Amino acid sequence: MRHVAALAALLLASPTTADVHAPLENCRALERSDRASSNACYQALMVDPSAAVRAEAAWSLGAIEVANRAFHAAARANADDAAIRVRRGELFLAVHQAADAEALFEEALAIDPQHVGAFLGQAKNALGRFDRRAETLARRVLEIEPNNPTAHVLLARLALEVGESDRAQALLAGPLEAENVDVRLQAMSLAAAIDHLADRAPSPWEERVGELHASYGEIYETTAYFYVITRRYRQAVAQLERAVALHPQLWSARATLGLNLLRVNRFDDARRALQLAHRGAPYNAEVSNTLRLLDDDWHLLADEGLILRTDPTQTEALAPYVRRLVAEGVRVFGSRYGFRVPGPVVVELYPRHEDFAVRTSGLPGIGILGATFGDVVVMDSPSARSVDEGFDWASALWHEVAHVVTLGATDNRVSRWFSEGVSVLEEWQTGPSRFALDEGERAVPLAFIKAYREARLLPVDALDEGFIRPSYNGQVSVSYVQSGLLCEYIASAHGHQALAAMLVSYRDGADTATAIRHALGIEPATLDAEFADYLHVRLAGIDPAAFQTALAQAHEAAAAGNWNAAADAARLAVSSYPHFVDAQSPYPLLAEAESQLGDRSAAIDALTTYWRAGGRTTTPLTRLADWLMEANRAAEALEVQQALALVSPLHADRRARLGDSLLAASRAEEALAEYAAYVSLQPHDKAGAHYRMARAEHSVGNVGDARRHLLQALEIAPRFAAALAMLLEMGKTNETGLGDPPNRPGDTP
Amino acid sequence: MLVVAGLGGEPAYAEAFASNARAAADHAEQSGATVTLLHGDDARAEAIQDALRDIAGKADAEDLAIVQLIGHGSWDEEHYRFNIPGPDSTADDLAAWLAAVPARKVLILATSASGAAIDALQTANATVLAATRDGRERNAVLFGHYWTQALASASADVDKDQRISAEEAFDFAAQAVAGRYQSEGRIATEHARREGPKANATLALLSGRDTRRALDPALAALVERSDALSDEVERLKSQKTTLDEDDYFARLQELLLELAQVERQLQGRHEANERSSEDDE
Repeated sequence: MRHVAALAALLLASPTTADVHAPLENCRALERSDRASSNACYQALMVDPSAAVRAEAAWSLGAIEVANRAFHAAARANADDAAIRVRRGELFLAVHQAADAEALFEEALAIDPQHVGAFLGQAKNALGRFDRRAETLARRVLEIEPNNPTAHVLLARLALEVGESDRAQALLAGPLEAENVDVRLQAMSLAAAIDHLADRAPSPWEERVGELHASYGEIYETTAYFYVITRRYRQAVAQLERAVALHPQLWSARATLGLNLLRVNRFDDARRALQLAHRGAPYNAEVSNTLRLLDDDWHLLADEGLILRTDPTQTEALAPYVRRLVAEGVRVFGSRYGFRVPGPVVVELYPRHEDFAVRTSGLPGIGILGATFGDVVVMDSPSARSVDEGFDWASALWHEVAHVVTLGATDNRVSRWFSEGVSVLEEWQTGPSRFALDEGERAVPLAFIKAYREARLLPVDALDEGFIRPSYNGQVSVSYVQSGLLCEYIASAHGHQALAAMLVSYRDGADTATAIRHALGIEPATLDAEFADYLHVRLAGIDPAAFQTALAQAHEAAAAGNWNAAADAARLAVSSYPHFVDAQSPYPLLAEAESQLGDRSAAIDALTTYWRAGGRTTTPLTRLADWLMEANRAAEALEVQQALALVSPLHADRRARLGDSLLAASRAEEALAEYAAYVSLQPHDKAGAHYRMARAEHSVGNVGDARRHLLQALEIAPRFAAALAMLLEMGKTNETGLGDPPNRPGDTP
Repeated sequence: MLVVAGLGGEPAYAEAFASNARAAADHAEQSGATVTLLHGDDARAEAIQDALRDIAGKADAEDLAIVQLIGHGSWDEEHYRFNIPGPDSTADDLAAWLAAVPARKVLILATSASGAAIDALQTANATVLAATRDGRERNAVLFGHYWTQALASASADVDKDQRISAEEAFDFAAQAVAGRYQSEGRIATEHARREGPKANATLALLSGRDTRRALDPALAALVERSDALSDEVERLKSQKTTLDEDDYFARLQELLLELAQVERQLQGRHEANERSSEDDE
């Protein structure tokens, strides 16, 4: 491990004790001109009397454990030396052991409360976690050392992360002239990144870095980092390939390359890159977890518009729904935003949430429900989290497909808030769990209303920060809703085509402020003011306090069996917060109260409102479907069953029941698809499953398949009355291929 | 059959246990069993012992005695206890009372910690179906809910003979419990366990009619033929791996077509008998 991650490189120039610095500098200089020959230089230092020097040399040679032991010995021999502890902390950071690193920085600060290196170490640790403390810590360093170049580089990096290129450039002025070569190289790398982000590639800084350091792959690791966080993964991959070509032992770049190759659907190349990274730096948990993920059993299904990777046991149940949602999404969004997705959309569905987390780690403010890398969508499968836990996977997929369009339409240049806003808006207006009532509006979550009333919403040109560096708990979720509402407002006030025009501006390289000016003809501040007025009206009738009180009263009355009072309180809750369908929705309770009071029709109305307003919790929907069937409203029941099966596609019984209803409605082809999914889910009642398949196959005219399933059903359950009756019927019409059986003794005419 | 609903502790549990026990008793009665149901304050140790003594007095080795305990159980690292009004019954108490029953036994323990009772209750002629793997699974169990559901579920009737056997109910409940924990993303705190010989006991009839009962000689002949055909199907299935697939399914179909006719005649006879009974009334 000659070098550690680019972030770690920020700290290589941290102050170390003079006796350590001097012998190392020769080797470092040699490394800059001829990396290969610097090995011998470092090797020679491995017998240096100073344990700290031995530690630095071992680290440079990639002998991490030797380096750690030497740092430990050096610290013991120098009880008052904060710098040694800082360097050991940096070593821990380099091998992804953040907690141990933090403890060492704290230890250093206990020795010297003003130790700049310790603060920088903590800042870097915070930087890696997208924690706002990074900036505070860097500013603390500048209070102690106003011209500290490393702190300026760090602040420039932070500025560039939120798109403030001018501020980043200004912050780099000092570091670009720094005496310390490592700091200068880092500053130049950031300057190159500024150029790349502004589409000025290649950057002149690349050549200047080459003059200073012949194999400084870190510059491309830096430019790649900014491509990654602006979701331009193909460009990131190209930069990382240059980084490792220049410096093959730059394991951090290899690791990042592997992870980003996955994001552009180059699985085999990704595996090779990750294996190399793992061999060179086995400490990176992200790499080892991802390699384990790649070793899992995957099923690959590819057709014209879709490449689907799933757990093999889930493919058959999920594929028809995924195929339909992706095709519809591409068509609907293509028409609404004027962009045709050029190739197949890749969808990866992870059966365990931990695996999804591995796949998306290391990205700022990544979606907790799904993520889209260009045309690659990765998300939890419905087995990872259920709709009753708040994960409506079908809606999440719809959201991600909208990203495919907004990212594709802008060559990945769309701002985070706008892409999320469009996706949220499409969930609300066109998605599988859309608001489908004739009157009213989609209710927004309580947490958003709270943030709005506490004036915690961000202005539009700073809204990206709500995703990338949230400043309070729940701000990411609030920012999603705010973005959706902003897009809703833009579409309602400026026409839906204004959203498409915003995308065109982003594609042409505009930032948010410019895109607003171009597409809407107003200043961002004006949009903020108009949006505030819009929210004032949209949220005016909502009274969260009255809602909570009424809901509590409704539950209390229901628990006491006082259904009249429960119904009254539930109605009050509904009127205090119309169309609210999240976990605390009052509609199911209202329906229960109405049912208890004997008014089944009102109960059905309550649950129908819940459903059409976007409610998807399975218990109320199951109840609604049953009640509708009982009320001979089979067509509506079927619609509810379809919604239920869509949000819980791995629930075998729901798939079977939907198949039954479809077959009863003479929609045999659709029934067959549902039954096929049911069979794939290994239901308990296997004979029943084959019998269902037999009926559906028979209905669509596949007599041979019907016979096969029928015999399979009867093989399991020979006295299965319905199946035997069907066999007799098929025998009568000679569909069994054997003709009628002969009469036997005891037969009655 | 003895069905006992234990103490609920909370009204919701008490109601659920009593309701599940009533349903189990009703299903058993409809299937022709003689049932003693104990719940509420009646479900005391003495009453359980008396009921088992009564069964012991009436049953012989060819009979089948079924005991269903529904409620909360506990385990103190040594003893399993079934929570009932008054002193709890331990697994050793139950084993001692059951020892006097000469019949084959099927014991359904739909309680928390019930796996701890298996060792004490399982004998050569007893099958134990417990809601939990051992005594450490102490949380209130879902098993009883799904067990009751199985007794009225066509999906539980995997062999489609319109009867729910103890095996079928157990498999259905065990799978439903596992599926529920999985779908809710929760760590399963109960794992149903079965010990002892296969429990071929009918617990419920789905059709409300026992089509295997031969009320007249004609019906008896049909039942006999149906059983013979069913045996032939089983024999054919055992040869499946040695036969060409098309040949296998052709032979199977031939047998099944005949079976279908016989079963249709059986059903017709039963319906005719029922109509005639109604007319007599």
